[in-house]
Formats: sequence, C-alpha cells, structure tokens
Amino acid sequence: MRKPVSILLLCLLLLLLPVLGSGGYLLNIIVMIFIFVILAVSLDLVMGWAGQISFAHAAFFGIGAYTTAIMERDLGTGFWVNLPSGMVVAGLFGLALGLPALRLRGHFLAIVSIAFQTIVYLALSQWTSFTGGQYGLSVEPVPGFQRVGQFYYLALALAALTVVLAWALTHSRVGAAWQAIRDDEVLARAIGLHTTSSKLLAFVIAAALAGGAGVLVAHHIRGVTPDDFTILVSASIVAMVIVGGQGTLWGPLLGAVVLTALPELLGPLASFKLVIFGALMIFMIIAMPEGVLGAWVHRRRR
Amino acid sequence: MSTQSLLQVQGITKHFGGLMALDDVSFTVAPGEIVGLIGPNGSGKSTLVNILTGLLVPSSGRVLLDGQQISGRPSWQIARMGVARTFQMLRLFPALSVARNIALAMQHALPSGDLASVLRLPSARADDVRTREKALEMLALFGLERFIDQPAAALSIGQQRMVELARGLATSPRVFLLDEPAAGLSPPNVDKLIEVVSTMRAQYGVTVLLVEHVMRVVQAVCDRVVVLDYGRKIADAPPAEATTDPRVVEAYIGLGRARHA
Amino acid sequence: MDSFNLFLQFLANGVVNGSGYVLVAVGLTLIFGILGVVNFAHGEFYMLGGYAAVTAAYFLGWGLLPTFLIVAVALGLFGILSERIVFRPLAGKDATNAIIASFGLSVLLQNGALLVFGAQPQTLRLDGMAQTAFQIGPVFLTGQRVLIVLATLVLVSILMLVLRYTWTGRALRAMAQHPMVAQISGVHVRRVSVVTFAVGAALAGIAGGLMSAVFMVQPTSGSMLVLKAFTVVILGGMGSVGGAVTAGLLLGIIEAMVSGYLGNELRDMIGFFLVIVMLLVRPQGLFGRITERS
Repeated sequence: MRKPVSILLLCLLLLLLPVLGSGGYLLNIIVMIFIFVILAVSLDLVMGWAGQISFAHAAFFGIGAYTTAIMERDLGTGFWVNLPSGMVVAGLFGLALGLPALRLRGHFLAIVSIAFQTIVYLALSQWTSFTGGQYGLSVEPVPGFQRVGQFYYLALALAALTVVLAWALTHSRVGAAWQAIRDDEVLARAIGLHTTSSKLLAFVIAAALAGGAGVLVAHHIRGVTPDDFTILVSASIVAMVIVGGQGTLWGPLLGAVVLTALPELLGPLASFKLVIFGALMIFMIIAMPEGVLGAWVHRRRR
Repeated sequence: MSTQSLLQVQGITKHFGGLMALDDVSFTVAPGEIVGLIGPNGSGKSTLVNILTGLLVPSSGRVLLDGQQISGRPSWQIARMGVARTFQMLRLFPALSVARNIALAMQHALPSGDLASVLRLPSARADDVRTREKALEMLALFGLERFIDQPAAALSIGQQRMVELARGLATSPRVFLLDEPAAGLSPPNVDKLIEVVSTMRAQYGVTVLLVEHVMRVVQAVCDRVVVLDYGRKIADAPPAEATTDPRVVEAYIGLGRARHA
Repeated sequence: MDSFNLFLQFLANGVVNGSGYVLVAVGLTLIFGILGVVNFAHGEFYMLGGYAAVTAAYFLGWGLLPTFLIVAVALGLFGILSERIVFRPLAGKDATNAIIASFGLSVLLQNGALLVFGAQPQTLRLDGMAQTAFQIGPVFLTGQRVLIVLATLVLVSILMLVLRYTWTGRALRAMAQHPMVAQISGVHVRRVSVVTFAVGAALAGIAGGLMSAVFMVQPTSGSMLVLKAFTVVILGGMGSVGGAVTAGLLLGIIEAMVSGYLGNELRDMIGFFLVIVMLLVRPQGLFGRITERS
C-alpha cells in the first residue's frame, strides 16, 4: 500500500513548494511543467486513447494564447473571461481541422495536422496587423496572481482539473469507445459505435484544453510570440506522450515532467539545453518505445 | 413483397473492377426463421454478408429490413437498426475484458447518455449494472460466466467464438448474421453451437442468417438454405432438398471444372 | 508587354526555387517512399550542406566542382551516420517513433550548428561564371541561379538513369513498390536503407550548398524547407521521383506567382493549403499509386 502514501506526500510537497521558500527559477520551471502536463494529457486523449496522430497541438496552444492576447488588447477583457473564450476558439479550430482530417489514416492524418500547424504558425507570424507578427503581443498578468508563487497555484489548479477531467472521460463510456476505436475501428463500427463523432470529440476536447493551456502560458510569460508555438513544440508534446507512455493516465504526466525538467537540469546555455533536448528525444524514443511507464510496468511483471 | 419478411434481399449485384462477385441475388428471411447461406469457396457469401452489414455497398439492388432500406448505410447505423454479426475471422477486442466487449455492443442503446456516464450520474451507473447483468446472462448460456472479467485474448478460440455470439445476442438483435461460427471448433463445441443457435430462436425469438461450411450445423438448425455459386443463387429450399439438388452437388463437386480455393 | 515580361521573370524565379525544392524532395521521396520513414531532419541535411559548401569554398579556397564534391561526400556520410544511429534501431517499430526521433535529430543538428557556426547568416561566394548575370530573352538570372537549375537537371537525370538501369536502382524501386517481395527476392534491406539515406542526404546537401550562393545559410534554414519538401513529396506522390520533380517545379512556380501578384505573406502558406486539399481529394498525389503501405 505504499503507492497512495507516496502520491499523497508528492501532492503535499507540490502544494507547499512556494510556501517553503523555493526560488523563482524552480517555481517557473514547475509552472511550465504544469502547462505541459495539460498539453500532454490532452494530446494523449487523441493519441493514446482514440488512437489518432496529431502534430497540430502547438497550433491550438498558440490559438488559445493569442486569443487572450488579442481579446485583452481589443476588448479589454481579462483572464477569467479569456480562459473559456480561448478554449472555445481553440475547440472550434479543432472541429474545423477534425471534420475533414479524421477521415484520413496514419501518415496522411499526420501530414494534414502538420500542414495545419504550419499554416497557423505562418498566419501568426505574418498577419502582422492582427497578431503583431514576429514580435508578438504583450499580455498583462492576472490580478491577484502576479507573483510566480501565486500564479503557481492557478497553474496547479488547472493542471489538476485537466487530469481529473481526463480521468473522468477515459473511465466512462466515452473512453471505452475510444479504446474500441483504437484497437479495431472496423469492429467498433460493426457493433454500433459512431466512430467519427467519437474521434472528433477527442480531438475537440484536446484542442480546447490545449487552448486553455495557451491562455495560461500567455499570462505567465506576459506575452505571445509565434516562435513559442512551432511544429517543434508540437513534436515535443507528442514525444512527452510517447516517452511517458500512451494511453495511461500517469504516462503523459511523467513525460511532461521528464522532457520539461531534464533539459533544464543538464544545460545552462540555451542552445546547449536544446542540443541535449534533441539528444534526449532520440535516446528515449529508441530506448523506451513503449514509454517510461510502459517499460517500468514491463520490468515489474517479470 | 410479403409483409411477413423481416429481411429482403432484392437483386443484389456487386462488381469489383471487372470481377462480378454477386449477380442478382434475391431472397427473403421471415421473422423467427433460421436461414442458411452456403456455397463453395468464392461463391460470394462473404461479400453478401459484408453488404448486409454495411462494410460494402452493392453495385445495384437493395436490402430491406422490415421495409426500411439498409444497403448503402454505414455499418454502425445498420448495427443500431438491429443487425448483429459475428466474423469469419473472429473479431473481438483482445485486450479488453469479456464484460467490456459485450458492454460496448450494448452501449449505443442505453437510455442514459455519454454525458451521464462521464458525470457518473446514478442513471448511468444503473445502466452499467443492468448491462453487466445482461452480459452474465448471455455468458451463462455458454457456461462462460467465470471469464467475464478476463481479457478476451485469454480465452480459447472456441470460447472466444461463444463470446462473439454472446455479444451479438446481448443487443437483442432483430437479425443475427453468423459468419462461419463453426470454423475451427472441436466437435463437442459444434454440438454446443447447434444447441445455442436453436436456443436463440426458441428463447429469444432471434432471426438468424447462418453462413456455414460445416454441413452438420446447417442440416441441424436451418429451416431453409440459400445456395450461392459464382455469385448467383442456385437454390433456395429446406436443407434436405437443397443438398440433394443436382445443381448444388455439381457446384460443390464440380464435375470437370476447376475450383479455386 | 511589360506585364508579360514580369510574368516571365516570376516564372523563371519560380523554376529556380522549384529546382531547389526538387533536389530536396527527391531525396525525401526516396526515403519516405522506399523506407516508409518520415525524416524531419532532412532540412538539416540541406542546412549542413550550405555550411559545408561555405566552409569548403571560403576557408579551404576550393573551386566549384571540388566544393560540391566535398558537400556530397560529407552529407552522404552524415546520412549514413543518421541512418545507423537514429533510424535503424526504430526500423520495425511504430512510424510515429521514427518521426519523433527525426525531430530530435533536427533539434540537435540545428542547435549544434548554432553553437559551431553562430547565428550570423553566411553566403557562399563562387567566382567566375557564377557571378555573371545571364539574360534569356527578357528574363534576368544570375549565374548562381542558373547553376541551381542546371545542377538539378543533371543530378535528377543521373538519378533516374541509375534507378532504371542499375541493380541498386532496381533494388530501390522494388523496395518502394513491394517491400516484402523485394526482401524475398534477395534485396538487401539494410544496404538499401543505407544507400537511400546517403543519396537523399547528399542531394539535400548539394541543394543547400547551391542555395547558399543565392540565399544565405543559417542554422534555421532547414526548418521551413523540410516542411515544404514534404508537401512536394505528398503532392507528387510518395516514392515517385517524377512526381517530386513535377510537384517541386510547380510549387516553386505557384509560390512565385502568389508572391508576385498577391503579396509575399501568402507565399509560404500556399503549399500547405494545397497539400490539405490534395490529401482530401487524391491522397496518393499526382503520380502516386495506392500501395500496400497505408
């Protein structure tokens, strides 16, 4: 019975970290981890559960971020209005992409998602009058949460809610249908499951959650630029899901922690950090194709 | 055009490029009947089954279920209209439990919706309990209740075939299409199969269309047999008559004609 | 009269850019079509080719042909190395794994180049013919640009001859059409894999070297290019060299027209819109066939 106790201790630690007086650097990293947890867990609904591929997650991340920046600039609204708005806008884009794209399989679905991701990136970086172009836009901090020690709890709450939502979905009939589609889509249809709308649901929910993460990151780093939402970021999120372990609850969570924290720990210089990140991605995919969690479960069974 | 018919196959033709797989096949199935569909390899039985269950679209002709057209509809719609099937190659979700395999087939018909399931409302949980009870009832027909929470892949082939039958029966189908259910079964299991198919009709009033090679099963359970050869219907009669029909004998033994596998 | 000349100039520029796309896409379609590998680091082969050319010409003072020979060899070796270290361990596994690994390689190479060469863009300066301007009718092209088109013509022709008439070439084509049958017929899968990567990387490297004379090379040169090269591969049909040539030139020309008549912002986007449309309407591309690989 050691597992729940250690999880409880971990949660306690997470809750108390800012109070324990840790430096801003550590707290910033953990806030980014929370944001990537939202991204990885939501992408896993699409990949590990519904069995589809998507390299467009950073696009929805960016759409959410830019929604709050633009709404703040043009409508004067703040975080609490922009958060649901960002999620709705990202969800709608998810619907727009999903409707045609989910008819395709494998390689082709991946390529369409890449094309969509690139179009969004190009639109963000070139539609200067609307999006601020390569320089991006600035975003105000959230009142009451200006210090990182305070924002920490906001990010923690949203990450926790995402995990709870993912758990509720995957342990319901919705998740059961996703598993069926992932394992044998033809059979799923033959027994009466509407696989297209089921896949679409995963896609739209994931996009909306990514949009929410985008709103969060915009208010955290106090700005949005196109280069925060590139295809590389999409690929990193996919890597987090795979490296952590697809189709499990803790897998993407673990993957987000590993791929966000490790580079920070191993390299001081920005470029050096990224070289390590790249090498890490390669190494982890080769060494652990079923993910860290998968490999661990594997070893325990022996 | 008898209103007594539950399933009406009308002039079904199917081309694959230059190949004619089915040529103007027509027959009907009355409610409560057990009709066999037999024919040598390559006669078009699988193609017909796939058309009936929405995996293929006919080139011409149509299929009516209780007067409503089902041909050309997607397979999930046809399933929801009450057509269940088993697969020649045995199709289950191997990693999922037997209970889950059966529950998934019943899912679309539950009164509480997906949202209720996510929110864990009492209505959804009540439905889940009822689903499990139904699954147990079905598995009891085959004596497989103790496997209910095992992953489907853990069962033997014979047992898995039974689970496929349980899955279909649990949905209370109007028509149940069995695609070579006896394939790969040991003789005691074939006896069991015959018993179960008869029970399905007797106890649950299910109408059955049975595609089969194993003649023992066909002769034991079928009221009528439709025989296909090279995509055409060559006989439609009770088993005893059909199997002695010279055209049918000719089709199977193929005096002087080469048969492909 | 003037607007027609303008049109021709756009056309010529489009053919030049398109030729660059062709060289990169041809290698990619071989790797993608034959090995089923989606290699996102392919753009970095292009970028490293640019740096290799600059280094060879600038610091070692070598002329045109030796420079590009060095580029081809260096990048060929790089391709072999990548195949051995990154892609071979993932050969039997899920395709997504190789895609992620190739992204990792892309990040590694991009940032490695940043550390080694710095962020400052560099240009390849070629003496002699390369510097002069040519006039073909009303169209003006510098020597570097003409060189790109000529090199592409020569290299692609050689490649097509090799594919058709040599044993290696036939082995590659067999692998692209029917991997299992090819293996049974004695095609050495690993050797094919190595050769494909080497050739693909070399072609991308040469393209990078040639383009570094016209545009500048910087560590990020490969990132947008590889995405465009993938659109060319899909538009032309996976595994089809003829398709890569046609689609590459077409994309170059379409982009030049869009840029010239509709504005520069839309130029990069057009290819991605086209690829989405193509995948929905005719997923196998212009010249592709629906093969056993789905």
